[in-house]
Amino acid sequence: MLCERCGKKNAEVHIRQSIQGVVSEHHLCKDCARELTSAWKPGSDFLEFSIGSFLENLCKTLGPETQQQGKATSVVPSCPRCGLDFEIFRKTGRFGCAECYQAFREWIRPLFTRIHGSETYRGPVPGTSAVHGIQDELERLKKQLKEAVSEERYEMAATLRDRIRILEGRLPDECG
Amino acid sequence: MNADRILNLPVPWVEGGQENPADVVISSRVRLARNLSRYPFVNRSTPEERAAVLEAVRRAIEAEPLFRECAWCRLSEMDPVSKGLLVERRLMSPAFLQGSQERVLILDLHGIISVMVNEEDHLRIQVLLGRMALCEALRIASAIDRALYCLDFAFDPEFGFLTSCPTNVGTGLRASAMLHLPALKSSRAIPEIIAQSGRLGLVVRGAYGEGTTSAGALYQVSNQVTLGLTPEELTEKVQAVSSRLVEQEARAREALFNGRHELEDRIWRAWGTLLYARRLGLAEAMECLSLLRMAQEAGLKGPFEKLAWGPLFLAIQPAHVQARKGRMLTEEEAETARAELVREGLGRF
Ligand SMILES: [Zn+2]
Ligand SMILES: [Zn+2]
Repeated sequence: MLCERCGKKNAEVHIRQSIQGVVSEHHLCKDCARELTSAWKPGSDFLEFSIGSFLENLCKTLGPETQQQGKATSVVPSCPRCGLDFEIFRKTGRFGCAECYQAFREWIRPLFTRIHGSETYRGPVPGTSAVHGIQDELERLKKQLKEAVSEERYEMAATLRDRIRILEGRLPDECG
Repeated sequence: MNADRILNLPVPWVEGGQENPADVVISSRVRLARNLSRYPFVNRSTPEERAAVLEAVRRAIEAEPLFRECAWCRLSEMDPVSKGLLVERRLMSPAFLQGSQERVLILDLHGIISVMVNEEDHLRIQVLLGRMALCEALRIASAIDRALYCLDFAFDPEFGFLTSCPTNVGTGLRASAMLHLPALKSSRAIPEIIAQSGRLGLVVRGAYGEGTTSAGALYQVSNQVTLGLTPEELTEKVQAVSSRLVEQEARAREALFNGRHELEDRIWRAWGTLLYARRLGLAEAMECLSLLRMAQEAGLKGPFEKLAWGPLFLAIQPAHVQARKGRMLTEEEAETARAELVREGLGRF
């Protein structure tokens, strides 16, 4: 595992901390861990991990303009379900529940644009497609197998046969 | 699930098989991150809520014929060596090792499907196949996904599948291919490749050890972006860049084999090291295996022609060495044991 801060060296120090009930785990290389712990001041009850971390640097800039630190962000309401405060989200870069996305919707779009280059999902939607995935796949493989055998591509056929065996191993008898 | 049982499970992604020659693409993996909408995400849930997630998942999976032959591994009940074996076989993430009582790995006994429950997200569904098989891995993962829709996954029409970390939102998909790129590594082309792939929304990184200098010349190509493109598009992107790397690697190998005597010398030395060394570090053993795999792919004649890369590659990994010896080892003991295991492995032919 690579250090989550510098992304260069192996993570050898594993830290688990809880900030206002939000548990986060951090995996750091020795150098980054040393740097962060030396920046830790007695009296502060957690290590500040946002320095230099890609995601957390992005999150820090989210939300309404913060002319006065800590005051302006209070206009973003906390998540009504899990109680996650937007300020905490900005620090940890982690959502607390599905409802957080609804609560912070306006403020997280720019974050998604910067991470993903897009803010709109494309892909399958639960509850709308048939549940015949494995059967379809089996039929496709069997067709390919027939072709491979007729074209005398035996190595390919052997691979396909393996795959079919694997998939059939998981199907109820009436489907196999 | 104990170490002996794990050691006897098949590991299809490393077992190339006799009829199939070695390949630059070693394995293909697809994982989907999913959460149950009814419960807070793992980082903000109580032990009771995580136990409830686990129970809901158990009911859904027991009803699903796809998971007929699988084992439930409760992480809290496993010893460190067994857990290490599963990580080295890439059936679970190292991050899964830390953390709570309610973490369970659902393990397909064919070694292809694994599901981590209560990792960073409620579910991490993983499909792992040998060679370039990303499209197939995606089809299997999607079938599992659909079979588990009864769990009512957290989904938003605008953002897609909702995850704890904003970097996974949308498809929740990470498609990755592990490539063996010894010639590109020695031609020092990797940093440039890493920079280029970043611009395409992909990541190339060392699969073992540190960033650009991966031990054993094994690299992982995966998508970084998860939102805006469909699962198929993301997977195709990883596949396209992988095949480009395979071509580049082939060209770099041609250049490398032009100085044939030097390379042959290195290959034979690697063979000698594996045969006769009395102590073997992990990095050295991986380098030797990398050279011999390249020799096999180039069709070089020699006693290493029949070397089974996969089983040896697993056998030299730290937890595998410990498991075979049945006890915790000091570094020096581990190196001695590794050399013994390799010699034993080669003694078969
Ligand atoms: Zn670091
Ligand atoms: Zn919430």
